[in-house]
Amino acid sequence: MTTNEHPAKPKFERRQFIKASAMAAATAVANPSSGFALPVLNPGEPVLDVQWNKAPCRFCGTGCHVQVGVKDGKVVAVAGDKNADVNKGLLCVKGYHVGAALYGKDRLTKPLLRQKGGYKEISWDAALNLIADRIESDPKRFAIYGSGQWTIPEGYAAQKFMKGGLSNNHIDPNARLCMASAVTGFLATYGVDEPAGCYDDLDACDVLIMWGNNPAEMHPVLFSRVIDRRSRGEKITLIDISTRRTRTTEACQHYLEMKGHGDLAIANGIAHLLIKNGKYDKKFVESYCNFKSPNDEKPNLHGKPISFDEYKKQLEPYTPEKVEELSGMSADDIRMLADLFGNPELKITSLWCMGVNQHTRGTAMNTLIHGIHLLSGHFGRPGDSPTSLTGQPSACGTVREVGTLAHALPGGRVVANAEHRKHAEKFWKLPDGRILATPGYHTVKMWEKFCTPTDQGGDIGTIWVQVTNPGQTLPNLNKLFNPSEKLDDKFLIVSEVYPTATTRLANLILPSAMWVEKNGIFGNSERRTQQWFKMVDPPGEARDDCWQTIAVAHRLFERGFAGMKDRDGRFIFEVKDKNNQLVPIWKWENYYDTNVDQHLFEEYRQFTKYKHKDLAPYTEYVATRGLRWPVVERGGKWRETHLRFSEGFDPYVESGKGVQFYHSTTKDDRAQIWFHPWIAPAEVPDKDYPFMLCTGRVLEHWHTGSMTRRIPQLNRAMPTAYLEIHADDAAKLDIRNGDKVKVESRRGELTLQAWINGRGRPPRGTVFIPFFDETLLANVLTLDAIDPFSKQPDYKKSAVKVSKVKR
Amino acid sequence: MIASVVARLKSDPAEAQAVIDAINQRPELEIGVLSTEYSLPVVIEADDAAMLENSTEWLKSLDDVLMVDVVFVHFEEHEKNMPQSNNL
Ligand code: SF4
Repeated sequence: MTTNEHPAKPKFERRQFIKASAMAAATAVANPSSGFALPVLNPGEPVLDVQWNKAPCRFCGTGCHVQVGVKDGKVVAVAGDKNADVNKGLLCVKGYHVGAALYGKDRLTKPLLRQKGGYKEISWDAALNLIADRIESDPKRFAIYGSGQWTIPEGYAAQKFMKGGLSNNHIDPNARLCMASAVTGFLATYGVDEPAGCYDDLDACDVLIMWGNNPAEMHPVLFSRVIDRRSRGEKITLIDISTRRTRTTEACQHYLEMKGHGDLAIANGIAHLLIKNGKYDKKFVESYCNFKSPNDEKPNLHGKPISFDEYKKQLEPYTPEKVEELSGMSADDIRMLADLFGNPELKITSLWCMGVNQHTRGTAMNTLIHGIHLLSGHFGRPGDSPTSLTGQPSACGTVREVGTLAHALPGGRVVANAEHRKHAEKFWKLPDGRILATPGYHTVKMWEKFCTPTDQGGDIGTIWVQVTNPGQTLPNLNKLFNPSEKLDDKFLIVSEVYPTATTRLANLILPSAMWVEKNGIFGNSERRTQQWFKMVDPPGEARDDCWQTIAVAHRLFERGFAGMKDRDGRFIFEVKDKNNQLVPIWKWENYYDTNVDQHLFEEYRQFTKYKHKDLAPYTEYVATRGLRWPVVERGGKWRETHLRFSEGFDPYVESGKGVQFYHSTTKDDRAQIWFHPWIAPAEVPDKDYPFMLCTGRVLEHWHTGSMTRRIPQLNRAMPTAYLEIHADDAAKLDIRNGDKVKVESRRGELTLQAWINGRGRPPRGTVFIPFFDETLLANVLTLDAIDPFSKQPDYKKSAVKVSKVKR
Repeated sequence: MIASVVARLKSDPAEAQAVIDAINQRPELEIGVLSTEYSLPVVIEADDAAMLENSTEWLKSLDDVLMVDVVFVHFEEHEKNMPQSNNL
């Protein structure tokens, strides 16, 4: 990075210059072979007195790379990074706001302690003491709730602090609410988590099937990659399988509408036809697959082995006509899908995200999508891939890989496995037996215990929330969040950048640094690990979440808390400089004397080989726009992996094997094709609650809107939540566009405006409410029923009634 | 605020010309050279992010525009009057 000093330019000239730069950037992206230079993208160029540096976007799991322009200590410009494979210089419209999101007027800048009548500013020293007091008084009743927006080092530090330091496994992330079923789906099928394919499949597939997925709004740059192929004249068939029309639908040749949980029947229907018509890939299946069905007596991810004939028999009821009855999708459309999968000439990629994961049969549905791809042999070639997407920028990197889940340890290990605990104790230099074997509470359980009075079994007394907003995103808020307000002995600590629905009930609020106000590393949906450096200072006394964890750990260490010492009595986060001198990173003024991220990352790297998720040294990520693991050194170069389990792509596949599932749960290098029956949703409409409610996101706001609602224009464009309802249902209830309606479930009620024939169009009998609005919390309505394997709730299917509010 | 976007157009010369003509009617938009792959660079000069978004939405709404991606955003004049939360 260099700073460029230039005499002040007249404003007009300056504006012309910015316009010219903007045009040059767009021209270079529109026409890569044009030879147009990108003056604004080259660090060191004397442009706008701005320093440019790379970072992944703060928002979604696509993981676009941006160039961030900084002037006078502030972010002033953002450009798509043309050198990034993910986005090739493009951004979605959220790019208009990613920089401005740092500068909301109500950024939290001081630690705040709740007192009668409001909050009082306190010092960081006092805040650290308070947290240390809460932990010391009862370490077993302490929990950390984090997220897929934690950077990898932040999540790793929290993980080590809890499991290695406090011998406490009550750490879980909000990712439990968004992709836990994808994890269990991958584990049950391949024995190891995360997609075999990557975004390159979008450039190679002939057919793209989106299962309950709206990438046009939620992963726009990925969707753009596909649309771009069309604009170049390539033929690609886009299929939207969904419970409601969205912007994705508009671009698809086929919109196949289904009822909630209809996907289970559809997947079984496709498999049934593949076998019945003799169109499954016999050679692939016989060479690389086994069959499984659930073990109802002892539900687990291993299930029970079944033969091909048993599998075939279990699928027999799923005729196209039966599937039509269960799913609402026409029998002809089911035949069309089966014909596509039965065509070996085509390359088929499936994408899914919340529609499949937020599902009380989410694990089952994930395994069924993998199963269709395996059964039909649409696997292991570029463009032939079942790929789940994530909503958060590091749900994969921090949650799934670092393992910040109540049952997990870094690198695909679990606390219940003695050998895995030993590995972690070795890497963390801890005494034997420090890590507990019993999994901690998963998200729903953790918050249920926090909201239950202590004398009634509510054995979580303190929760420290980092980088997330559970007061808005937990399901059934009147059960899982709001009751804690009345429980005086419970204590909620929230590290945040803005006031949110969660800080509303916080006892202690800690101001945090965000995005390029700190060093960071994310891991996106395609196994890509991405690094960036701090570029601007956080406001006031806001500080890195990672520092906060380490500072509390050291406060406990100072007090002699045994868990904060390694087996040699040293602080568990001890860092030494090149001269072997201790760096007091627990003091904020010294935190950036060294690169703490690099120290933590290099320690974490040791964990990654075990499940062949090898990461390169930190410095390799500094030099690149991310690398997809496994990253293996060959010929003195660190090489990433595009396609796992396939010979010629994956360095861990043995020569001559073709495809090798080397973490197979059956230890025979085979993947598991599962049968799971169709099962009705946990709650279905009835005469009292006749509508099925689906909740979700909108284009303008990122998740709970805590950042995007601070952008005035976004706020004006999408100011409040609304109810999407079909015109016929609305007419029956005498509801017109803009009318106030009351929506009631068995758990809560909400009054909001109706939107008929709006952006999303639900079919009759279903309604939709977005969850971004902290003033209209959709999750007072939702059900907290969970998937039995992943423990992930279903936000897409709650029964509600709707009535017009009389003026 | 100044931003630039790339609009992906349908691969048809007449339809592309219609898009270019429509864009030329909007004072806040300036077009660059259409690529051989029918990608059109467009610069948007706007008072605020809302206007940027409106212009982007308008571009997207044109019949012969398949997709609009953002490339560059300059927002040196930070927004005043950002909304705040009541949650403190
Ligand atoms: S697609 Fe996602 S990662 Fe890419 S610019 Fe948009 S919000 Fe950021």
